[in-house]
Amino acid sequence: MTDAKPMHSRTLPQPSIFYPAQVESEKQWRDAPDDSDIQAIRRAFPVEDEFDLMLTRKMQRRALGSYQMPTLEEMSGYVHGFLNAHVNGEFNVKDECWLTGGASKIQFGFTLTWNDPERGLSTDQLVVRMEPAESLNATSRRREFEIIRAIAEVVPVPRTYWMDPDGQWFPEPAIVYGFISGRAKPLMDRARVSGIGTQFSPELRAKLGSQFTRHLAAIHSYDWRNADLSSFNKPKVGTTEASLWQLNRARRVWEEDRGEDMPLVEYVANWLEDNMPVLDHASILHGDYRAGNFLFNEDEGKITGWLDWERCYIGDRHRDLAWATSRLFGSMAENGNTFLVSGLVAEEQFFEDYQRFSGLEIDPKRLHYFRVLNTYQSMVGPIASTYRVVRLGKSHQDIILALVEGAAYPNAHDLLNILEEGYS
Amino acid sequence: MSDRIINGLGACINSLNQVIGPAVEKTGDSLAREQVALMAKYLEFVTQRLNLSRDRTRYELQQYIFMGVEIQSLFSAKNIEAEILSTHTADAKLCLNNPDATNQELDDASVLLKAEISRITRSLRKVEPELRKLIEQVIHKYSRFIVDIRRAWCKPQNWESDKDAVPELEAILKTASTLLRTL
Repeated sequence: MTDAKPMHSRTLPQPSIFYPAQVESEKQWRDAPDDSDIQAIRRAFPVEDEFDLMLTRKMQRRALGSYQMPTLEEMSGYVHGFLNAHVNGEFNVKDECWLTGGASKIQFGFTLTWNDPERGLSTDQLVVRMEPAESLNATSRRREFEIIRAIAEVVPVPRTYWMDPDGQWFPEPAIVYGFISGRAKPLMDRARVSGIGTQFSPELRAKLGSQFTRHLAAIHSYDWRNADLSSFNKPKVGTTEASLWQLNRARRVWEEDRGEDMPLVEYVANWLEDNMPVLDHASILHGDYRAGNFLFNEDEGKITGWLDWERCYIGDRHRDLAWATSRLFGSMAENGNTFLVSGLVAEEQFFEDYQRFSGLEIDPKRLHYFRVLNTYQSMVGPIASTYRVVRLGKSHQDIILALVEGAAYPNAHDLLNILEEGYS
Repeated sequence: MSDRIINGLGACINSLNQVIGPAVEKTGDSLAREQVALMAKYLEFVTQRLNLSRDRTRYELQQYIFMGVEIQSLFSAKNIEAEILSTHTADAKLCLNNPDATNQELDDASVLLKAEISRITRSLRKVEPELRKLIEQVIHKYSRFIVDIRRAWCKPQNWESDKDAVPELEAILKTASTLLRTL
C-alpha cells in the first residue's frame, strides 16, 4: 500500500492503518472480516473495554447473514423463558406488543403480574430493549442497565428489573425495564423526526426548560465513585484518555463499517487527535442529551423520564453540553433570532443556569472541541454504519437507517462552519 | 425507461398508502405501521431523485478531481511525487469527460480517487505543518461542495432545522455543468 516514490529524498509517510473502501463489488471485505483485520483495527484504535467487546462481537458475527426479526410469538417465548429463570413463583404476561421509537434497538412491551420480593403482588408495564444483529450504534446493554440503575437517584429514569447482557435467554443482549408514560415531542410538532428541530410552545418551554438544564447539571455533578459502574472505564483527571477513547471509538467504527472514503472525515480525525483536551472533572455523561430522549407529561409540563442511555460514558461534561446545544436538535424562538437549546431554553440562559446549578464551569475552548467531536461522530454513524447495516440487512429498522444517512450532512455542514469559526 | 420505473414506484407508493397501510393500521401493530409509512416515504424520495443520480455522481467526482489536482500541485511544489494520486486523478478526468462512461465506471473512478486522497489525509499528521495546512484547506474547500450537494440531495427528507438555507439540487447541478468545461 504505497503510492509515494522518493524524489529528491522526499516521500509521503504512510498511515498506520487504512483499509480503503472497495470499488463496488458483490462482496466487500467489510462484509466478512477475518480475524487479522479485526485485530489490526482493535490495535489501531483502542477504546473502552466494554465498547471493545461490543465492536469486536459485531465484527466477528458480521458474516453470519442478515437479521431475522423474531415473530411476536417467538419473542413471547423468549420473555417467558427469561422470566421463568428470574421470577420466583407464578407470573402472568399479557399485552405483548412491539414498540416504536428510536432507530436502533428492538423494543417489546408487556404487562407482568408477579410476586415482587420487595412489593408483593405487583402488576408492571415492562419493556424489553434488545439489540438487533447490528445497529446504528454497537452499544452495551450491560452499561445501559448499570447507569440507569445508578442514576435513578439523580434524575427520573425507568425502573430497572433484569438484564441478559450476553444474550443467554434472548437472541441478543437485552435489558428489561419499566415503561414510562409521556410524550417524546409536543402534540403540535408532529411533522418532524423526534428530537430534530423540536418546537415547544412558550408555555411548555417555561415549564420544561428549567428541568432540562437542572437534570443535566445534576447528572454531571453526581458523585459516581461509589456507584456500581463496573463496565465503565474510569478516565484519569489530568489526562486526555477520555477524549481519546471517544475519538477512537468513532475512528474504529469508520474503519469497520464504511462503504466509501471521505477525506473530510480523515482531516477532522487528525484535528481531533491534535486538540484533545485534558480532563478537569470526570462526569457521568448521558451521551445523547436532547429533546426526543426524555418523556414528558404535556398537561403538567413535567419530565417523566430520561431514556436512551446507550451512549453514556464517564468523561468531559462539555461533550454533553455541546451535544445538547447542537443546531440540529434546537430551533429558533418566535422572534426568529434566539436559538433555543433543544427547542426549550435560550442558549445563553442555558449555559448560565447550568453553571449555577452544577457549580461546574464552562470552558469555550473545550466546548468548541466537543462540538467538532460530536459533529464528527454524527457523520460517522449515519454514513458508515447505516451503509453496512442496510447493505447486509442486519436490523429490524433498516428502512429507518436508509433514511438516517441524510442526517449526516447537516452535521457535516455544521462541522465545516465550526472549524472555520474557531472557538474564540 | 426511467419513466416506466417512476410509474412503477408510484404504483408501489399508492399500494402502500391506500391498501397495505390501512390494512396494517387495523392490526394495531405500531412497528409495522411505522415501517409502511417509511417505505412509502423512501420510495417517494427515490422517485424524486432517480433521474438526477448520474448527475450527482458526476458532480461529486468533479469536486474530487479538483481536490486531487490541487493537492498534487502542492506536492509538486515541495518536490514530493504522489504517483497513485496522479494516476487516479488522470483516470477520473478521462472518465468524467467520456460521455459514454457507464455509471459503474464513474463510481469506480470516484471510489479510487477518494480512497487515495483519504489515505494521504490520514497520514498528514506526519507531514510538515505548512504543507499539511495547505492540503487541509483544499480538502475543506471542496468538502463543502460535496456536503452541500448531499444536503440538497436529502432535502426532501426534512433533516435540516432551516430547510430554506439548503441549496437546491438543480441549481448546484447547473453550476457543475459550467465548471465541467474547465476540466
